[in-house]
Amino acid sequence: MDIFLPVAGTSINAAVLVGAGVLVGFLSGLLGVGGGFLLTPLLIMLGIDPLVAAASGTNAIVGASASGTMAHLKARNVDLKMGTFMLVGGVVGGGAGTLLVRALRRAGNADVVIVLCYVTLLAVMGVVLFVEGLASQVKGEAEVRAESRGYRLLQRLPFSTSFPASGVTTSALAPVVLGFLVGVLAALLGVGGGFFLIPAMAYFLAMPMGLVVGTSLFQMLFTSAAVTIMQAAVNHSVDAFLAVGLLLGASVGAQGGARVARGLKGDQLKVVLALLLLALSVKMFDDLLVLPRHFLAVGGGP
Amino acid sequence: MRRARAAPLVLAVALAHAAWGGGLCAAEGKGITLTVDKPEIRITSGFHGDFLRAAGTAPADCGVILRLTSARGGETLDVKGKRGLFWLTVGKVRFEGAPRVYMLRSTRPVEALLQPQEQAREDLGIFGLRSALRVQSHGDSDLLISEFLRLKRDRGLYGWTGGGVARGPEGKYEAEFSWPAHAPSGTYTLTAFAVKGGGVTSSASSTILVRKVGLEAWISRLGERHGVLYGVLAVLIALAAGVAAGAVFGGSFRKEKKAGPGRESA
Repeated sequence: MDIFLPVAGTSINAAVLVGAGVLVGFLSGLLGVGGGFLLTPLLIMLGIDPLVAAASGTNAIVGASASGTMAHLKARNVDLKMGTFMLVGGVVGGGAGTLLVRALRRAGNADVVIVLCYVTLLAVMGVVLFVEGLASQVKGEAEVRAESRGYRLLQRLPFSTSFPASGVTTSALAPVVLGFLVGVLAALLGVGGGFFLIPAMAYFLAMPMGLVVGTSLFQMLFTSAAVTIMQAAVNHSVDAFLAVGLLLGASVGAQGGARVARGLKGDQLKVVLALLLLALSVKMFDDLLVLPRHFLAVGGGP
Repeated sequence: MRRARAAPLVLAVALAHAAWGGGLCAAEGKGITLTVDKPEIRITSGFHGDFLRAAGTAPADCGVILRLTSARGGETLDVKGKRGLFWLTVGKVRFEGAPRVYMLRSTRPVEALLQPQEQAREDLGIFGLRSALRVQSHGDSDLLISEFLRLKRDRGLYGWTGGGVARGPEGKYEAEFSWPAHAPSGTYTLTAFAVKGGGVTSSASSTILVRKVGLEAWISRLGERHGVLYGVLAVLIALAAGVAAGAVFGGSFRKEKKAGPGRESA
């Protein structure tokens, strides 16, 4: 059965749309990533305008992260204190990132900077996580956490605060700085930032992987809601039909992902995420090198 | 005196043109007629494209070309270019004089029926399409226009080679257009041309309105006119769907947690 998407202005097979939602929701629940970085290219591949794909994807992520956050809240896998600190940094960082994008665009070649940033970041994070995931399988997670240079570096900052839910004591500035950086990256790369936040929280804040996933979903819920409203108001690019179709799949997928995540150990989860990030960075890098089918494209994206 | 000498020459040219065939269709007094099976395409929730059937009569010795198109407008696209090793978006380019949709059906390929100059003059075929297209760019205009046409053709919105018109007895003709779901809403014009001797001899037009109806129209209007309200509604719907799914699955999730082995914790 086909449904017509009123804002995207095209029709799509309902099963394909819901299936895409299940896939992204599953990954969202499993890894805590919002899935924006995966969802947008997927929708473009299905023939959706890039601008509408990005905005409607963000709308769907609101639902996916809401159901994911609920599942993790019930399992007490959300550090609300840490999440709130990150949210504050994220809002400020998002504003700063928007200004940075404008400055880069004025200077020209913003695309080169953005895409190479993306590829480098994904690859570095993928490698770090992969190595850590493998190392912790050998040594045990607690030992690796104590060894994390990033964690020790941020611990030296002032305003030492205890985060009982995560069982860590670090500077209050650490989650704020991290949230700020994610905000900048989210604005720069046009994604929710979960793919960066998850490994960064594990590495720099030394949070246990189960709490990392739930807490990042909590933060993402607010970010994606704000972005959806802004996109609808400024670009008129949110397609409610598209978002609801994706949500139907994503809500179910996210629950499935959260269940599977419970069955996996933190280090296994790290390896899964690392492989996903590495695969994505290779794909993006390859896309840059291959001769495009068309030299003209409908505008959109960052 | 000069005028009197010129008169036989004009007459001779006119006779030669008539003998070659130009104008004979019109001379017979039978212009082309056109009927379309539906004046309106309604976009509903289950819309996945449609078919338009055109039929009519045209003098048997004339070729028939059908053109389905919109008024021409502007469109801005991203341009890809190579920077070092990488293919990236390197700028934007604005095209003017571009119709939203351009489709042709004809008894023979358009190039076989009309000379390039006639195609350009009548806005028919590749020369007709190109003649009105303008590019606001410092780059190679011809190349950019070719790329624009290729993109539109590959998206199923443009076609200029023709074919697909069947002739019947007593000058009847008929053809079918496949209307893609992603073609924009708006007013379109279907025009039938009778062609002979490399020129158009008569034409007839019909207007087709493509519009969203019901829920589709309501959502489009709300999104365009009340963006913030629409955005808030979209977020609330997403939250409701997410929370509902959480409530449905949450119970069994909690039970599982109690029964199963504990997750690694801090």
